[in-house]
Formats: sequence, C-alpha cells, structure tokens
Amino acid sequence: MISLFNITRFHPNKSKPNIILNNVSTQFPRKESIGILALGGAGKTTLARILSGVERPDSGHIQRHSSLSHPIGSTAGFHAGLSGAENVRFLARLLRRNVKETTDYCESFADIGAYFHRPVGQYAPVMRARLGFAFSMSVEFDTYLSDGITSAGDHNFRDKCEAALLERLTRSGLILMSRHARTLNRFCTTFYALHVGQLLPCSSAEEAQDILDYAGGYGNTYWNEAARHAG
Amino acid sequence: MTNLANGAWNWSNTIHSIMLREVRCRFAGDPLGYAWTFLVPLLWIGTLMFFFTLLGRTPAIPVDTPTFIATGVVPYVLFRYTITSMGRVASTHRHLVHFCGVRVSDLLFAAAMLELLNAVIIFAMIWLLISAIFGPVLIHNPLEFINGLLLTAIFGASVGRFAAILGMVSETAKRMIPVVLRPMFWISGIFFTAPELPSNLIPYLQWNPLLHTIEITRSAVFLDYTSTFANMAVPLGLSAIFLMDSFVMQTAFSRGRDGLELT
Repeated sequence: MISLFNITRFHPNKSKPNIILNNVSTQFPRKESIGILALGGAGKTTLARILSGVERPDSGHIQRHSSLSHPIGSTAGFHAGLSGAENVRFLARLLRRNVKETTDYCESFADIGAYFHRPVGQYAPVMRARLGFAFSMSVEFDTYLSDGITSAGDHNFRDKCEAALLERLTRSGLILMSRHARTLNRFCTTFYALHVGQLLPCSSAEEAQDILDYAGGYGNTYWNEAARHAG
Repeated sequence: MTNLANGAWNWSNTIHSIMLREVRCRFAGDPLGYAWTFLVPLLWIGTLMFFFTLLGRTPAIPVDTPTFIATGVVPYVLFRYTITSMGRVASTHRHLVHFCGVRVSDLLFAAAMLELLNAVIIFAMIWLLISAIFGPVLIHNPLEFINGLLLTAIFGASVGRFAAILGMVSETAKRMIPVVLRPMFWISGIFFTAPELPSNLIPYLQWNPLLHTIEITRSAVFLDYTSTFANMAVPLGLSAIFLMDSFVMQTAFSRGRDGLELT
C-alpha cells in the first residue's frame, strides 16, 4: 500500500508558484494496477518522482508499505563508460539482488548480443532502451512504477516487453502514468485523471479522457478553476 | 537490534557498491584507468622536486627533499581530491537516488571514504618508493601520523560536503569552488614549514586548517621536527562549522537545481 496525505508540490515561478500537485490524498493498494491519465506537463514525472522518494513534496507526506520499482525502462542509472553487464551487475548489487541471475536475465531479455559486454556509451538508443527495460523486468517489486513507458525498442521487442510486463502484473501492482487512455486500458484496472494538481478518481480510462477533453486540453480556465476548488 | 544491524549492513553494502562504481567509472575508457589517481601525486612530487633543485632550495628541517615534499603533498591531495570527488559523485551518480533508497548523503560519504583509502595507498606507494631509493624511512610517531591524516580527511569531507551541497543548489557557486580553493596549494605548507612564514602572515594563516594538519603530519613523521604551530582545534572546529553549515543548507534548500532531494 502506498498512501499520499495532503501532498502539495509547486515549482517556484517569478510571478506566482506553478502548482503541480495541490493537496492530493489517496491510497494505491499493493497489487492493483493504477492508471493515471494526464496531459503533457500536468505533473506525471513529478508525481512519479515523489512516489519513488526522489523528490520531497512541499507539504504532506507519503507512506510506503511495499517496495516500489524505479521507473520502468529508465536508463538513467547506467554509466556510459561501463559495459551493459557491468552496469547491471552494479545495480543488482545495489538493489541486493542475485547478481548472476539478474545479469543472465538481462543478457537474455535485452538480446543485444556482444554489445552487452561493451560500454553503454557505444549503444544505439534502441539498445540502451532494451537494456533499461530488461533490467526493470529482471527485478521483482511489489509495485512497478511507469512514467509512460510500457515497452521499448522495435515492434517485436515491444510485444516481448508488454508480455513480460503483463506476466509480472499477475503478482505485482503497477502505477502507470500516461497521456494515452488506450495504454492505461491495456494494463490498468483503476483509473485517475491528473489535472491542475488534482488526482481525480474515474471509473474508466475513457472517463478520465472525457475529463481532460472537457477541460479543453491546456486552456479551459473554467474547468481549471473548478478542479482547483475540488481539492 | 536485529533491524539496526540489518540496516547498518545494508547501508555499508550500499556505500561499498558506490565506491566500487566510482573506481570503475572515474577514468572509464582511459588506458591507464584508475592508476591516474596514484600517478598524479607522484607527478606533483616530481615537479616540486624539480623546482626545489632549480631554485637550490632545501627543506628547513634536516630531511631529504622527496620525503619533505611527500608529507605536504599527500595531505593536500587527500583534502583536494576529497572535495573534487564529493562534488563529482553528487553530479555523475545522482541518478542512483532512483534506486533502493540511495541518498545524496550516501554518495558523498562513499566518495570521502574512497579518497581516504586512496590517500593511504598513495602514501604507502610513495613511502615504498622513497625507501627503495634512499633507504628505509621510519615514521617517528605512527599514531600522530594517523591523527594528521584523519584530521585532513575530516576537514576535506566537511568542506567537500558543504561544497557539493552548495554546487547542487547553485551553478555559479559550483564554478566558483575550484577558484576559491586554488590558493590552498600555496598557503598550506606543502613546500615550507610554519616557522618559515613571515611573522606578519602568521595571524592570517593560523586560520588555515590544512596548514595545521600538514604540520601535525610532519611532526609525526620526522624525529627532528616538532611543530609548535600545529593546533588540532583549528581543523576540528572549522570542520564542525562547515559540516553544520552543509546540514543547514540541506534543510534550507530541500531540493537541488534539478529537483532532486538533498538528503
């Protein structure tokens, strides 16, 4: 279970602060697949960073009673000067997982051949993405966190990623943030719309989409004000 | 108690992993790799010896020039490398905070520990080299020598922590730190002893903690030299001030320029 209590987060601005999350309180049960629909710039990444503890809210607090993954497919932890194998070994050690099992899984899943033992700096972006996703799937968590990424690489590899993620969701939860209702429908069972700092519960991804459509994308002032007051 | 022991074990594993990663990453792609860490101080000693010879200068105490320079260069290298390394890890390994509760403070601590370990290795290497060339050199007071090295490490880590947090808050400050630290090479007694200083400079330079730690180290190494200048209260006191300031800054600016948590 991950619980948010009155979370507020803003980015300082010259005229007035840009409020990203406004007094948000909710609970994400451990094995549930949560989908959060939001427009670009609405605060998906900020929410993901707050959930994972990388950022602290300006007010409110979070309680985590289950392990939460790093963002799925993230390659930020890879050092360009180290080989894929070395990066995986290091991160596995850091996460206190079996180093050999994790390395073998990543080598097999990423399927990038000899490049696995070459510096990540020499990888094409698609290879890096493959390795990032492979590493995410190599480690078991109670809940996986995704900032819009549910697959990586070319068409065939994307199918492989989605199959691996769906298989993982039979025993783990997911918090997925996306701009696309279709993506949420594929992986999630519970839905929210993130709009002007509010996390609005919805019965379906379509309802979340309707809310954002009704809000008029980025510019409907009336809805923006209404959502602000709802908090 | 078990939870505490488990926590301590996990934390030490995290620190160990970060240190290993830093060793692998620092000079990744360079043929000489991590050997640069040990080669650079040797090159410094060589350069300073060259200038000593060129200027016909001899140490103020009756010891051979390489040993005299080494007792100044090693503490300076420990101090300077610790600051540089702590600033670098806060930047190059910052993405590790996404993984399993690694905090910025863990990165900084791991960097400081690694530099202390490096300094011990550097000193051992230099000592072996000098002993091989000039005959065995004994450390007169090993405990005081360890004290000098630890004081330098503590001061370096305190300034390093302060500088790293400051650098995460302000890009301008980050660029200014090396400029501000540059005079330390000239005013810390690397190639002179405190009694050689002009009397009008002593009231100012007595506030330089590195000068005190180098004097402590020299007094410990050489039988014929006892520093009346060295006072360990200066490095300890200023370390405490820098450390406290770094924590105050961390609290005041809860997040860095890139939004990362500064814990």
